[in-house]
Amino acid sequence: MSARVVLLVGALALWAAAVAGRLVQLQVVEHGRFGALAARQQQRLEELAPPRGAIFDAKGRRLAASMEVQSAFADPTLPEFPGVAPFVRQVEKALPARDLSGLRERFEPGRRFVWVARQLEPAEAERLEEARIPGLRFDTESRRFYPMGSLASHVLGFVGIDHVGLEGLEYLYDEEIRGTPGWRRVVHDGEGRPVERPGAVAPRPGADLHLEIDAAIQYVVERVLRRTVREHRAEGGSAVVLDPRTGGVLALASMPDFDPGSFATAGPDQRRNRAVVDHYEPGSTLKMVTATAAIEAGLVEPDDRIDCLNGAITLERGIRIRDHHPYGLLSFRDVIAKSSNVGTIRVGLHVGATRLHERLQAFGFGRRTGVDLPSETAGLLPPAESWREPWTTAYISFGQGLSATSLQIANAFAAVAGGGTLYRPRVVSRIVRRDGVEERRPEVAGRPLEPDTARVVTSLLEGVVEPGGTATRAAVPGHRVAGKSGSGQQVDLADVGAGYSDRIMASFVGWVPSRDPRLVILVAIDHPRNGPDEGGYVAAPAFREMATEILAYLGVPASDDRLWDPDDGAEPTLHRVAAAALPLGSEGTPRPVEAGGLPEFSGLSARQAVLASARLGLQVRLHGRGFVGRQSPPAGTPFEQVGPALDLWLQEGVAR
Amino acid sequence: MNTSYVVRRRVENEYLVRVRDRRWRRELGLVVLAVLPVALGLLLNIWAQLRVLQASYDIDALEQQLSELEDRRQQLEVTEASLSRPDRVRGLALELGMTLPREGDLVTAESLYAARSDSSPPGARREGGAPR
Repeated sequence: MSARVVLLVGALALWAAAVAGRLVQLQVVEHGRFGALAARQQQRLEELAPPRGAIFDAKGRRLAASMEVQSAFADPTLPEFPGVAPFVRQVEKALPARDLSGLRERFEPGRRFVWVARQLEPAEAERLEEARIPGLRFDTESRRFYPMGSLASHVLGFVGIDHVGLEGLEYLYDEEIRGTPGWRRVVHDGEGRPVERPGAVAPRPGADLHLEIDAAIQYVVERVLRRTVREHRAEGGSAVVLDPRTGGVLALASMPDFDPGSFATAGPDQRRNRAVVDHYEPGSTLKMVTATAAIEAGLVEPDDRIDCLNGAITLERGIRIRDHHPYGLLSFRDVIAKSSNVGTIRVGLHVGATRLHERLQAFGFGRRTGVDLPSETAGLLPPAESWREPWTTAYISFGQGLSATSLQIANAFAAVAGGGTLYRPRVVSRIVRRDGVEERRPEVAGRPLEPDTARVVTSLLEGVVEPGGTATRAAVPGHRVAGKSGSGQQVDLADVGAGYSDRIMASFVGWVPSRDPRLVILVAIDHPRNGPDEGGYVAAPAFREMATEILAYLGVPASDDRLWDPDDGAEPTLHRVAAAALPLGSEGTPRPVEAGGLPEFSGLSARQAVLASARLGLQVRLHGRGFVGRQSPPAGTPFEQVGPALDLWLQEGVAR
Repeated sequence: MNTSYVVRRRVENEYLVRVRDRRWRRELGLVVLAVLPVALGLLLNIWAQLRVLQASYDIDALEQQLSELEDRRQQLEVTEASLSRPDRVRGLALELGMTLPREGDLVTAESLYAARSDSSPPGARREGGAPR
């Protein structure tokens, strides 16, 4: 073998040995380090955000919903990361409209994760993706939307940027509606495309909340409340609408309000849910409790005469309490209707501190109602042993010297409206989870009065809205209303020692229809400064407007026929009202037959036939649709032989 | 003297005989037999890996599509909800000249019957025969 061949073989062997040695170094000696580097570059553990549950109103309208949006982040430790300055420049170029101040400072040494821009608009995400900025990654995040804007903002609350509930139902039910995140491990190729998913756990979506709140009712309440606050140049206001049959909260509003979609721009005053957080001295609305205590104890009857001492009463230490008018002898009914402080004090003193305190407690004053809203306050009900007779009893009997929230007061009135049952107010009616539905049933919180007492108190409170009462402006056409106005004097919190200020909480709380209650509505206006500040003047008209619209929306027919034809001597009936409201004309009545008896209904519309049969005192069973073609019993059948119901078969296109 | 001669002789390499090497062919066959399955296996493996890769890309594209459709659905739900805002509906209703029901516009058959039975006995009304 020649020397040249030996040299060549030797060189090749050395080269091969060098390559092999390097391979051993990379693959064996430094396997751990390079393996970890490769895994970090190719693999990623992605958290899968759970969809946050939606919030629906009582009719299934979407009040809050979440949408998946893209967020961009950077990993400065990635090999392709170009450095902070070039990276930020590229991002700024791709997102010229976004405020990126502070982005540079977020890149602290050693950090592997830096948020670049969160919750991007779809167009922004597209531009960033097209820019293909090295080291930039995307993650999916959920963004909360409130499609109805500021509607029910205090009830719904809002979520922070991390999708954690911060106020309202979003906060209280956060654990329920947030869901549980999942994860997945993804292996990417050189271009960042996922090529393998070695493992994954799916996220668990959050539960949906269905509310008792009805968006349409809430809208009416907010619209009227907003206007009332503005017209009276008040500092704020609150309104509550309850269903007295269940304790369901149909609407709950506070003014000023805010848009939960941009809550950061709202001040604390806007974000405060006054209806459950603010407690104030209610004033005369609390006379309802004094009246209930007195009637339940058998101390007074509605027609008993009470001397109102010409409108002034002197308590111990020369404390004098006056009425608005110098009333003399008044029936207890009129004491309540005219809201005489003196008359109420005299009855309250007769009831006594212990009984009055017990009754207030039974109505839920001095403790939280337990409504499913955060930050509810209990109000202040001084313990009975601290009452200084007689003036504490005197003050409390007409609603001063204690404090309550709007919701507490409305709930107490709902107990009277509901015949004596106090419910725990409820905002959420149903929680729909992936594995089942939790129905929230009405929960009885107590029975503060007997049904008989409730009837008597109802009749007393009807007088408040009738001529001669303090709140005639609360009267709702076609419906009887029971309620009470209040003008509670407030202590100036900036100077408590100075006693009561000129600050008035003008309120009206009542229910309608009074004999078949569907709605309890409370309106409270804080410090009205434009004209008179009494509840009957400020809050009662708002009650009337709310009740009128809500009853129409709910399709509650007029039930108070007295207002229809007051000059007619005949006993008013709804039958007559209906005929007046829907004049049928001669062509809309059944044809009488010569032999008498049941008339001929053929050719009438279903509506005309139902009204006509109602006039005759007959029930009717309709079959089919259209106009009456056939009837049973036939026309001419003597009325005595007509059964309890008339059968009418309808056909299309046979109008008379 | 000018002499030249040419010897022409046909060379016949009788000792070099082209024969078929049966052993070599057998060895080649054995090598092919040994290598072919390995090569085929490798090709199959590469093909399967490519298929997996392609399927992975397809899954990714489908997931992306699903996600986009889901996002679209959510967008539409939010849009639908914002279009049914009560203030918007009220504005449209007012534009169309709609008003709240007036007193007496709402009458239900149930209330008629209830009022009828409360106010006067049916017989009293029936005596007259003809409706009023």
